[in-house]
Amino acid sequence: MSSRKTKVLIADYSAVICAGLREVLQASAQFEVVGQTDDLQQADILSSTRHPDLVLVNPQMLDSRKRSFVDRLVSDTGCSAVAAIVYQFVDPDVLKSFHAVVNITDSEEQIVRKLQQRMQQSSPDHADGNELTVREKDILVSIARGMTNKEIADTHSISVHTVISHRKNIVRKTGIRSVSGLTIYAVLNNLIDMKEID
Amino acid sequence: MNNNYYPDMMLADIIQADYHLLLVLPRFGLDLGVGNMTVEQCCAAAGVSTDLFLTVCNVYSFSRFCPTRDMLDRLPPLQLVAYLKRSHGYYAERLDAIMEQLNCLSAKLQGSYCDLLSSFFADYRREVIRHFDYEENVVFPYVSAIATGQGGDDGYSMKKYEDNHGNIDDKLSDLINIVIKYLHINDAGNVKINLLFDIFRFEDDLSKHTHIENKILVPLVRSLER
Repeated sequence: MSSRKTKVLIADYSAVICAGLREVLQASAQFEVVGQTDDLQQADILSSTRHPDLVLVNPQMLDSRKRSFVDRLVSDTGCSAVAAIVYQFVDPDVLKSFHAVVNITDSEEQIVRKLQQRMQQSSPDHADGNELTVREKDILVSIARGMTNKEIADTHSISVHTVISHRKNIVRKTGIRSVSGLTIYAVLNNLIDMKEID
Repeated sequence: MNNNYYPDMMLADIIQADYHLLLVLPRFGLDLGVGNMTVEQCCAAAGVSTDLFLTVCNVYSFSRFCPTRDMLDRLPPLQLVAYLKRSHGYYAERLDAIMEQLNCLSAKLQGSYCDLLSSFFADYRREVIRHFDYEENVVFPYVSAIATGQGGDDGYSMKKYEDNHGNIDDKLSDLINIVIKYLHINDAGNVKINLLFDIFRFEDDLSKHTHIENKILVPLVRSLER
């Protein structure tokens, strides 16, 4: 799809494992490791500053209270996949929440192939970077006008599902979640006139 | 995770170890100028439970801290409620201060959207105050009643509180994002920087507060309900 390399962040307690995975991934021309850490908080910071497309994380680092780590990572940072690094027993329920599983006993080829496959599956909606597309700007204006998803879908002749997916991308790109916050964004960027907001 | 601050440590030392603990002192009615007194001595002098004070300090300093069952059982619910109420008072003050800074910033904004930021934050502030009012009018009286052995049969329970304890951080992080990424104001000087510092600090403090409510108040009261 894109010629750009997949940016990878590795989070594992073990420096040896991190270094090994880095080596394996860098050997394949498709991956570029943009960070590695043995600390989950640091992983949060790295994923919001280096914008990895793929995060490899040891599930044992995750707090059991924070099961939603994977979802949160995807929604907050816009990375498109989170893979588990497994070398001890991990609850199968926990593993289910990951997009891919890398076993420490996998061969180099297996690891690369698994991750490549996963990256091909994930939607290519990051190709457009961090700027809003023309379509997204249109949808944003509709949101700022206070329209519901259904109304937006009807106006633009698209499905509600598509509207939701646009909204997700708008939130990811702007970092703003609330409708009133998005309205301010639209006004500040001259996408909408004050008079159009009630 | 274990306790990280202990009763025999000097109050002055733990504050130097983490100055954020300064926020906690007035909410317990503790004062500075304590010389070399230990935490235990200071708490005793102020009539405050040392266990509760240390638990709150540990929540503030150590993000993964969670009290053990045994420790929870030693915490006095009424003092915890008093602490939370005083925190609310402090947050209301901070919200006013942030509001004022935003008004100041809005005054520098040109065009018709100068009120937009202020009214955005005013909405958020109303939301937070409503959240506090609910806790003070419904939740805290319930906790007090159950802690003193009365009530608990009017149909309210901690379960309901947990279900309704919504997340109020979204708008705050939106505001931070807008100011950092999208707000162009000439000659704003340090106003924007100071505003951001205040919002970040407020956000941090409020998240500790929420942690105390979810991880300490809720399990504590649920064990009293049994």
